[in-house]
Amino acid sequence: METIILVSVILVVALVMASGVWVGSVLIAAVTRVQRPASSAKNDTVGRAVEPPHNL
Amino acid sequence: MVFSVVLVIGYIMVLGFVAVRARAAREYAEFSLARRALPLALIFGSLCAAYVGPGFSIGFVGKGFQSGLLFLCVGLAYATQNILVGVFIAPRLRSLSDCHTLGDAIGHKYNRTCQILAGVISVGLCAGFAAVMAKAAGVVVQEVFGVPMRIAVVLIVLITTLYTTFGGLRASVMTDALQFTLFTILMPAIFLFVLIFRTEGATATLTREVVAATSTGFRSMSPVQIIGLIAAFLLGETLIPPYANRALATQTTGASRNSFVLAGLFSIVWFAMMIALGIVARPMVAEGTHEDHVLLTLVKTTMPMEGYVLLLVALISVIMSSLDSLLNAGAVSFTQDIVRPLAKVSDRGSLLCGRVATVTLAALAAAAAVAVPSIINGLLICYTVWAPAILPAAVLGLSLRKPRPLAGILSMVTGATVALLLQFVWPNATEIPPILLALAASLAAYLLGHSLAGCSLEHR
Repeated sequence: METIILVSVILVVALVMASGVWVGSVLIAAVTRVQRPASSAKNDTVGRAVEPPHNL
Repeated sequence: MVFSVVLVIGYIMVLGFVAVRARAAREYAEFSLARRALPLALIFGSLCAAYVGPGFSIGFVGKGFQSGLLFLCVGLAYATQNILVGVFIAPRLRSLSDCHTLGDAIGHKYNRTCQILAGVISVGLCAGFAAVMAKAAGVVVQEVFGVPMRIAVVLIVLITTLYTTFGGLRASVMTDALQFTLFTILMPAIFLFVLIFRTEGATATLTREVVAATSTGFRSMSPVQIIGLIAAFLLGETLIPPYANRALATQTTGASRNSFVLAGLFSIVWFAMMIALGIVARPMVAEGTHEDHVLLTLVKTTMPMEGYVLLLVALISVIMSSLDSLLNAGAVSFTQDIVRPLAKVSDRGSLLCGRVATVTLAALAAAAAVAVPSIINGLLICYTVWAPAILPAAVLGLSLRKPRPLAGILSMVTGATVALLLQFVWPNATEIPPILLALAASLAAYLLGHSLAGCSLEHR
């Protein structure tokens, strides 16, 4: 029982922190990127993307 | 005190920097949906930051303290809801390319009257939720600066309103992502510190307390009460305006689906950690402590001053990220679902209307904050009204090929009326949880409206 609790605690803490690091790294990339003209903003993380077709 | 003030000011400066980088919205489409250009990671972070409010942090620690793993089971209903919305609803919503809000989607499927009704319910709900957040923010800021509650509420609402009013959804999502990053690193760090350095025989104590607290929790509630809680967590926050806006603002339908599924999975680990923190607190916090004060008391008594201040910063993040999402969603819903269907408004006029609505909602929330009962109870009142008022009409409307407007109107009016009556006029009328009764009434009204509208179509 104690081993299960210990493994669960480690897993939970690691997953929560990993989520934060993932979102944080994308955010840092977004706020530190150099502003480019709209024509070259195709791969912009928070820029104006072109909506791809969806099949719903 | 000096350290607290410096830390809080530093936090506000970083928040300001991110808000400035998000840029002020110049068009209504930018204010309402950030031009539908937000990537998966930011939407995921923002969704999690929006739902991890004071209820899912301070509230869950208190519940873990009182009833062990009982609330983890209840929380699983919330995770299931998010995953189901991600798989079945969010992609359908996102595929409605000209919709800005859930009310807009309802109007698209039914008619303009339904959209306005949905708008009124959405704005009312956002104001109610925002008042709960403002109260929680007031409690935390009061703790940091020692200022009166009213000033604390005004201070936090003012800062949140400032960046939400100018930056719109993009600023809200980007600051949410920052706040998410902060509290997902700070809260586990605090949890580990308390568990490793302040709990004697860490895992053995945790194991013993898990069993004791959980059996107490299950004994203290009847099966009907537990079913009511599960229903509230399963349905109460489904597609509330801030979540619907995020589903609509993603780059693609796939990103919309994945962000909700990931947010649902994240909620499981988050709830587990908050509940564990509450259980760890049991040997260290006095038994009769109010559930909303367990986390603050635990950290205050076990951590150095710096750790306590860090927790307060994390809590301010948790609360502000929920508050900004609600203010933005309420303002967009007011503009899109109430003003635009009734009057011809230019893009510039809509942007201005959205900004004025943000400020008005914030003022209402700050004024109503003092009337809010405990945090979890405040949230449960909002859940009880939202689910019956909107869900049957929204979910059936998005699923049926030709939903009938009369069904939508009857369902929304009946659901909202029954929920409000059971909540405020006859709170002890029955043992059955109000959310279930109101939901049943709403579904019955939907079926009645659907049949009546079908009959009149046949007569023609």
